[in-house]
Amino acid sequence: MKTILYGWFGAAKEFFAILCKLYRRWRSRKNKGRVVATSNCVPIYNPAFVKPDPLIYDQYYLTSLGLAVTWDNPDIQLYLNGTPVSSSLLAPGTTYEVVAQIWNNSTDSPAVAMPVAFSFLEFGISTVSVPIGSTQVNLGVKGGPGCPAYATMPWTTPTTPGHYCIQVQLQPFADANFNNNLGQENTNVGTAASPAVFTFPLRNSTRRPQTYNFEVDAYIPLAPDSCGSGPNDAKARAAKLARNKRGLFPVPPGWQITITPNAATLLPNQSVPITVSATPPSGFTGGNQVLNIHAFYAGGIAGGVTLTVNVP
Amino acid sequence: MGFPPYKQYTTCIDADSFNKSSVYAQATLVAIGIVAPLAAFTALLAPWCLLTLIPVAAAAFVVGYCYWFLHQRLICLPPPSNSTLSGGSNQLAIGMVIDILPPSGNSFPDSIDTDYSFGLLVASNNPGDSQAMVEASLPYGFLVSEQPATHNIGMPYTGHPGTFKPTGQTAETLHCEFEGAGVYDLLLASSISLAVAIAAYMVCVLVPFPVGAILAAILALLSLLGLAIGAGVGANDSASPSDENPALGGELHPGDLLVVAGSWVYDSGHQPSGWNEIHPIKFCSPIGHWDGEWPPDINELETLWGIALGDATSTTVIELQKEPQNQWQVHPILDGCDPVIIV
Repeated sequence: MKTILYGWFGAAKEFFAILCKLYRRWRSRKNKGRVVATSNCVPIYNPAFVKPDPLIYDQYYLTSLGLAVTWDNPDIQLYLNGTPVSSSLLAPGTTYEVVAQIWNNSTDSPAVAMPVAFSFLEFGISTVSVPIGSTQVNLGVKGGPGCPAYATMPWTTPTTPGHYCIQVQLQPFADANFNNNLGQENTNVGTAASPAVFTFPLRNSTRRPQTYNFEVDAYIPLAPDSCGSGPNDAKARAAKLARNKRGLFPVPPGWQITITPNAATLLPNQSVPITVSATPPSGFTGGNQVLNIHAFYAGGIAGGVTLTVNVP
Repeated sequence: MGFPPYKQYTTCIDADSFNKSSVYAQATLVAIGIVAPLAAFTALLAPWCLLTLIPVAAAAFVVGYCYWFLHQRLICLPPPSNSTLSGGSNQLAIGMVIDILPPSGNSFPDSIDTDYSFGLLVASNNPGDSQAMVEASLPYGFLVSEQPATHNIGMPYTGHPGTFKPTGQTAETLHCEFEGAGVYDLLLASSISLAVAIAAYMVCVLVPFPVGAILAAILALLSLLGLAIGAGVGANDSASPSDENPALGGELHPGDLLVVAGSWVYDSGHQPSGWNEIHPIKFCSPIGHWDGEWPPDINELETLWGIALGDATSTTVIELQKEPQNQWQVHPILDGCDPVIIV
């Protein structure tokens, strides 16, 4: 009786909306063709079918977005007996705790028992990765109590003195974005004794000869604004990202940076020592200067290091 | 508590309230209930207008059928006391995809049912395990076992075997369905058709001949046309949120390991067969692919998923997700903000 008296009106309104939706869908698909299932793969499109989106501060991904990056990874921290230590000041043959902070950009899907692999590399760019170990982490949804999650791995440094780089690789089975799962911590500190000199290897980890060029900047991640300090809509967030764009953080005037060689063409697996010499401007005393050295090749960014010049 | 956005057009009914008579009998009763009084009235005043009751009966029958399909067909199964998930008849299961039945495989009139379904072999069973073995297995065997609620009202229970394509082995599966809007669309269209058909009848009775008869004939045809359009629209309205968000969606393959959560029901629409289902699926996420072995810690995994999903669906977390500090899209330190702490 309800249908006859007035229910039909609501139904007509809703049915018209469905017709409009189907028309829009038909128009949007018109030039795209239908999704074709391949072999045993059957496409599924439903809002209940969800994937997590685990992520870490991934320099390669962020660079691909045109953003400036630091190799002093804000999501990777080393501890010695519970005290945070800099990855640039590691003692040989010492057991540290590497802690990775992991985020989830999905508001719908947690990632339970997600594998996280830790490895270390000789300090440098594209050097060979040596596994430390793997653990699992339970990552909750964005905004929930399990996000961020922390993966912890003990690591005993090699007995050979030197600088090492830490890599953390998230290994979810399903991921809305697989491109933001590799975080790298790659730092060194040097004292400017007119000049400060750093040497590290650059290796070609690809299967083809590559030519590498360098870029230097002084980027340090900006402190996030307070949430109450202004709008936080998509436009405001885009503006925040734009403030972190690559190219906006030149080395301060007066600093003289020399990279030798300033470009390198390498065969697969070939490596070459790179020397960076940083001379502070006269009058620069009692402070630190961060320098990010990025190596680029035809395929994009190959890697980088963050150097801190300590001027007494 | 709430799940992520999901499509649900059905509701389940308690076993005590379930009507065991056939859907056709129930739909016919709806049609008779509407047509009979009108027919009696017409027979006295304008017998020739009885013809206009044909589309009324047709539309009322379809309304009755769709209503049964959406709201009288599924029987709610009471959750066991140790259920991992809270909230009504929701259940969580970890299992392997055995077979997939997308809506594109149906021909008319089955194509109006645009649900996307698959058979899930619940952990930790193997393809080839007998129905009895799967039913007796822990922790999910009860999901595919006959329940007292349906047994006590005499519903048949046969289970739902599926064939695992890679090996050709059969296995008892938990039938799981993502809901499509096909039948719901048809219900909307048939409701409109019913109203138009009754308008045709009224015009025929109240407007003098021949104008009334001509108008009534036009309206009656429009009513039948509405039913046809509804069927066409319904058959094409499989859920596709990827139109709005291409990041949604993916592919299912036999052998995929999934976590599935949703309403646990008995589907009475398959008599003389009958089985339990997750219908609708409210959460589904791929967690791996079958390599011949199950993870050794299924019970622990289930507990962890129960906690994680409980958090994800809690109203507190859903409210927190709307806070400014959780609106970042790239990384919190890049496009996020520090929450304001009020002391």
